[in-house]
Amino acid sequence: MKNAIKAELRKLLTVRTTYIIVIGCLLITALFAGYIEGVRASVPSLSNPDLLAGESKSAVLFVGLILAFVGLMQLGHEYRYNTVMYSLTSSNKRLKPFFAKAFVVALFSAGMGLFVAFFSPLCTILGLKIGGHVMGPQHFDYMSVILRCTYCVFAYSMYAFILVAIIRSQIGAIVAFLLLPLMGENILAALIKDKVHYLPFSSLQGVVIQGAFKGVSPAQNALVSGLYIIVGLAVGAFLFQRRDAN
Amino acid sequence: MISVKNLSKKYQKKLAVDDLSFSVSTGKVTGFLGPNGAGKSTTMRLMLGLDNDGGSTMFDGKPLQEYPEPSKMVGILLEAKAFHPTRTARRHLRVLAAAGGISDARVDEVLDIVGLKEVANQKPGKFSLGMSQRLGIAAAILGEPKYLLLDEPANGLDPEGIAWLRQFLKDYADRGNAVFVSSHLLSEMALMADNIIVIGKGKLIASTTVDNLISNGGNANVFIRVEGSSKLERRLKSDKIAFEKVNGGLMVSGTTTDELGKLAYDTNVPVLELLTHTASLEEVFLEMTSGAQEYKTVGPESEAKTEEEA
Repeated sequence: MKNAIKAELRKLLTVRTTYIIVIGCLLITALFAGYIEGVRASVPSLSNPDLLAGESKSAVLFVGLILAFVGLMQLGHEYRYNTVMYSLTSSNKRLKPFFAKAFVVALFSAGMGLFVAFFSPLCTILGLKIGGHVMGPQHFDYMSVILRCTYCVFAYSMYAFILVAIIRSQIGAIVAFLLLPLMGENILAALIKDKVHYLPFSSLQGVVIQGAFKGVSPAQNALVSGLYIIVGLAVGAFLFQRRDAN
Repeated sequence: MISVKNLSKKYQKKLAVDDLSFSVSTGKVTGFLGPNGAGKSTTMRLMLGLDNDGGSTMFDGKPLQEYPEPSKMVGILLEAKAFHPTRTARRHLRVLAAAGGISDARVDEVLDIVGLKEVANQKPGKFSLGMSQRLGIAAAILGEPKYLLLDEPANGLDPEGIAWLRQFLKDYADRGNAVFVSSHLLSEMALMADNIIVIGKGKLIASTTVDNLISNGGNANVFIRVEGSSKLERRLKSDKIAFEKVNGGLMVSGTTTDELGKLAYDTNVPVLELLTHTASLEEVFLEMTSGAQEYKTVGPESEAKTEEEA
């Protein structure tokens, strides 16, 4: 398993896409949190005690979706470029490369979630200083922000990873990953109405945004999305084991 | 030894590999031949466990998955362009080295062996097919495996590259390893392989040595060119010996140079040329697989007939 994880880490760190996505996310965060919410901050927002914590949460909800593409491509590239045959023949168990990938994706996304959770408010503070604004006293519950943001980016990445494991096509998984939260869940939400927090992407919003769904705590939302991840990984692993390599 | 037993693979209603059994010996290059769609690539994928279906493949008596580090047992090249196009050649191999528990120092060794050291830091997306094949061969030999499974490794290689590959694979096998290689370059296979396995429509057609295949599979004919061939033709007809006119001479079946030489002498025709025509591997292959062609081309004659019929 150690060899498989080492190989997956090398794969992650030796493709241009990883760096393009990370730099893109940081630039977007800097633009929104630093420039729009910092340099050009509106006067009412300066007195908001949740300004910085809100910045962390907004950032992960948005860039988490983009960072998830790294997870998607960690497996998607294998199918696209047919390198999956090397991964499978290097290992004595088929599931080793699958879980090594899932582990590396989880590690990367959690790390990025943590980084963005602090990078975003830092950009806001810097932007406020550049803009000559003074913000009011802030309430920033470090543990809560760390847990929610890290979990959110991790969960987005795992959703993307599971989709590509099931679909086995990079393009197909990208389309599905973009359509599911935008269209799929909106249609389902219209059908299930007050049980929207049971949907995978909606439940993640409930993890990050306090009180997003009435009567459902962030921990309960985390449990719902966690179940999706566990079941999704089990289905993905089963298919990875049973189906032909590509 | 690789022992393949009862491999089979069905795609919906089509049987791609049908109860295929054969063995691949160490110390030898074994050629794997078959027409397009015969099931060669599928067989290789089944042998490696990449595709799932019936049958088993044992490497020295054990399935590949029972070896803790399979890439040190079997090296594969199933597709030349199987790499990420923007990951440099060196990094591509370092990824594979990490997965197989192989040292990074070996990466530079294999790059040197296949002649890609100069372009090791280039992105393989811009490589020619020949260079991609070399990178694939480098990946295959990375773990210094006992068994090499190569699918069409000579595709896209220049003549120098083909000659290098031939010698390399022969030397690799001579060191006690087994090389199992499929190719459409039959003349190349005749020079390279010791044993040949021929399949058609997923079934085994032949599994033998190259020499056996040629001597048993094709008819040895004798070519003769004489002055006044009509006299010899009449004699051959009266003796009921089959022949056909080719290249200004006669291709005679079912005889030897000695017999035909004497016959020409008896007939009193001066012999200008007399030689044994042994069937090439290509001729034998075409003869053996004539009934197992999945995809057949339509020649000009057939086209003309079709037009007339229309």
